[in-house]
Amino acid sequence: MKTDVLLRMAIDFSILSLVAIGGANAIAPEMHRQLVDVLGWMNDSEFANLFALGQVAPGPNIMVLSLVGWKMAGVAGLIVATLAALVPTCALAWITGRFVARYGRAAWFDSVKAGLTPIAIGLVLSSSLVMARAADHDALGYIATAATAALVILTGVNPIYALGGFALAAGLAATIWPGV
Amino acid sequence: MDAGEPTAGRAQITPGLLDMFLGWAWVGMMGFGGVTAWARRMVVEDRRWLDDREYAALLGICQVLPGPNTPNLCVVLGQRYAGFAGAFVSVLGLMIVPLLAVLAIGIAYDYLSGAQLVRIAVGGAASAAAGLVFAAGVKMARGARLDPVQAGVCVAVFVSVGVFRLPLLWAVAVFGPLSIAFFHFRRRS
Repeated sequence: MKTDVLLRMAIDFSILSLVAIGGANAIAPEMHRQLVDVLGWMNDSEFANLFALGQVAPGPNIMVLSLVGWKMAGVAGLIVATLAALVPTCALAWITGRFVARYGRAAWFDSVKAGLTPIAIGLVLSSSLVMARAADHDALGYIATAATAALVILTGVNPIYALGGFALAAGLAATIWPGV
Repeated sequence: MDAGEPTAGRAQITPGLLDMFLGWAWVGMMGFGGVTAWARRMVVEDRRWLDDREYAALLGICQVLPGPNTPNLCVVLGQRYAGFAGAFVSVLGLMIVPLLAVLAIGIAYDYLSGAQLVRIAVGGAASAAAGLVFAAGVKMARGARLDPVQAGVCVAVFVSVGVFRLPLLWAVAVFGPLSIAFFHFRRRS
């Protein structure tokens, strides 16, 4: 059972990181599809919470995959998930780096960038929609999503305060009105 | 990013392996909510490995590559200075502290998530995180100055992946080549 989980993660997370155009923020829809819908490893709330913890943790946001690995299979899962997320993409970066060092930036490079930029943006916006659907169950949830978005778009405030603030607000609300 | 002093033409420092490890370890420690801004500060301002222009060019390459941008940057930059060893110590430096932190967070959450209040509080942070990712998308769109065709591709991807939940692999496999080919031929004509 555990070997199955490790193998599944090694394959799925390798593919996932290789199609993560736009970085870690782009992969929530596919993670949700795999982990919740296809494999049934967790429910909506667990998924949303893990993704939030991945954002709160220091370091690259791709660490959310390491966190999933830990949750599914302990330390072995953490290591397998992290390697799956990093090794294929780092190998690709290695090859590209060699290529650019030898031949310079090829002309087609700008075409690739122009073509992939809108895809990256579309994926990141998709991620936010999938995360909001998984995480927002009540008015406070919608407010937290909208207010954090506005705060980060309009001001330079470190978003970690918004995440901490709404964690506190949700906890307080549940304490004051239990059962609501 | 308005740096106080011009960075172009400034003497650049070639880092050793230990410098790379420590520099990226600092970025990994600082980067709550993503590391992109901290990576620029370390590479350009604090340690002066690159000037702004060169940094932007390298980051552009890493943003086109799939996967997390900053580890890609570690590989490309580490490779330039010290080959495989440079790439390896850079990625290791970036990941070592966050990995330990994730382990600590995972263990703590395992113990605490039995308490409903903790689950509710983390749920609040999750709602906020959805807004954070939305803001990241809006900022990318604002910086990219999309033309109408690009905006159309962006909407098509959003509708198929975000609304209809098509697999990411399909969406990238269909829209990626089409979009790249379109911009390639338009540029040449």
